[in-house]
Amino acid sequence: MAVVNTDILQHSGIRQEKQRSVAAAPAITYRLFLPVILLVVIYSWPTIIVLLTAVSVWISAVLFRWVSVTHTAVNATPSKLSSGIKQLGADLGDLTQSCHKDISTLTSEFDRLSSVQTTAIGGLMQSFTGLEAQTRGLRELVVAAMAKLTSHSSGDGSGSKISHEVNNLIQVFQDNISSLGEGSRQLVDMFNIMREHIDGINRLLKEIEGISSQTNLLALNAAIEAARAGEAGRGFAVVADEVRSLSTRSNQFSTQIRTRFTTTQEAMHKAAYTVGRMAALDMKMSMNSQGRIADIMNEMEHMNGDVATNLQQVDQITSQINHDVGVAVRSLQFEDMTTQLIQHMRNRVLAIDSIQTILGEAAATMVRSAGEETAGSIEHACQLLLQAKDRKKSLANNGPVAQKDMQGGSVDLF
Amino acid sequence: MAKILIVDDEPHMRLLVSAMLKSDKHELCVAENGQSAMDLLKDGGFDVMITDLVMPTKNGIDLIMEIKQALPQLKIIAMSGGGGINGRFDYLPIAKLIGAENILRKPFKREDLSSAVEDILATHN
Ligand SMILES: [Mg+2]
Repeated sequence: MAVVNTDILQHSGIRQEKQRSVAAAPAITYRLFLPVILLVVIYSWPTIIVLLTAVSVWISAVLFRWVSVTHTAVNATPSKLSSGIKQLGADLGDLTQSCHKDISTLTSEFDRLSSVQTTAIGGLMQSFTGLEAQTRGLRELVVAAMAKLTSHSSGDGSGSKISHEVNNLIQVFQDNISSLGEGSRQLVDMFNIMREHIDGINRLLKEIEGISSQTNLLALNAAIEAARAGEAGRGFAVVADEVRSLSTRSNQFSTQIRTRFTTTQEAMHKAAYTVGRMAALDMKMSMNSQGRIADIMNEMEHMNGDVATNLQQVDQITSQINHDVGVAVRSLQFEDMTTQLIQHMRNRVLAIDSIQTILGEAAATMVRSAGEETAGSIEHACQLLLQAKDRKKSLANNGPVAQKDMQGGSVDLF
Repeated sequence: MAKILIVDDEPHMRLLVSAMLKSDKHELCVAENGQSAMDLLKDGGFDVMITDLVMPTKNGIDLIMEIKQALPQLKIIAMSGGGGINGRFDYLPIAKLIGAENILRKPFKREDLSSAVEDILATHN
């Protein structure tokens, strides 16, 4: 307020100075012309009357002109207004017509959108449901395979059931071979007995050879003693000779037996070595096959482990797919929401269209009423506009669906 | 006192047999298979060899057969669990058949081993 007052003060100050500088000139003029005017008034008052009359006539002419101009404008208003309203009504009519056309295109597009969406989502839903069923089936298979694999595994870390079964089978096989091998063991035992007998025979043979050689020596001594005894020992010499020949024969026999015995011993030795080589070969084969079986078992265990791991991975992937498909199927169910949204948009557009129709009617009324008695028609147009306004208000109140995302559980539509 | 070679692929068995014979004041050597036993025997001086039968690289049967050809004077004691791996053969009687002077079936006592060695040395001398 102070500022304003100051402004006003300042302003009036300036004005006072201006008035002072301007007032100087009229003061001089006034002092110069005042006696002239007084002289004119005193000496030429009829001229003043004439002048005053002329001024009043001029003012009257100006007033008349102003009145006539105003009157002419008042006379021109109805025709210009009528053509303006007519033009306005026609333009409004054209505009509503064009809007109506657009809206009808829009509604048909909404219909197409809705139908395309329904078809597409129906197809997707079907295929996803199928996929879900398939993955569920696949998962069941995987779980069954894993269960089978686990049931084949002993679970105590000592290997799988299969490898146990294979081991048992091999044991049975070995038992069979073992019972067959009983014969070969008996054979080896008999060989050993034969070897002992051969050793015994060898000892006996040596004994016989000793006896034979001793007998021969004895016979030789007897022959010598018989020769020394002369005629008396002749008979004894014959006996000694016979004993000697007996010893020779015995020696011959024992040599023959020795030859045969050596042959037998060699054959025995060869047989023993053959058995030895067979046993050694058997040992090598057994050691190798034992190792090989162990390798195969290990390999099988490894493979089982790998298969189990792979199955576990497949199971994980399958359940992930199952989950994803579930999400997709759930998401697709939001078709209802979009359909409702589309329906709502369509309804809104139709409502706008009805407003357009009312506006079109109002426009037509305006066109019709132009140039006629207007009060009733304009009132009717105003009523129509009010109606349109009300409809617009109710349209604004009728909001769309509140659902904005696709999180399940908080759906307010279905 | 004799020079004895102990052959077995199991380390604990070599140690055990060595320990069993230690008190008998013999000179002891060990080999882990038939091949290294053959190499040691060729250097000479051994009186007795106590050998396992089931061994890798060269088994006891092959070793005995080879020794009987190359070193017939060496006395052999074969020791084994006896039964073959697949039960087809009992290796111990076969060892005897091919010339092992004595056989010992695992598991054996210290006295069994000592008397087997003493018997062989007695027969040898
Ligand atoms: Mg062994």
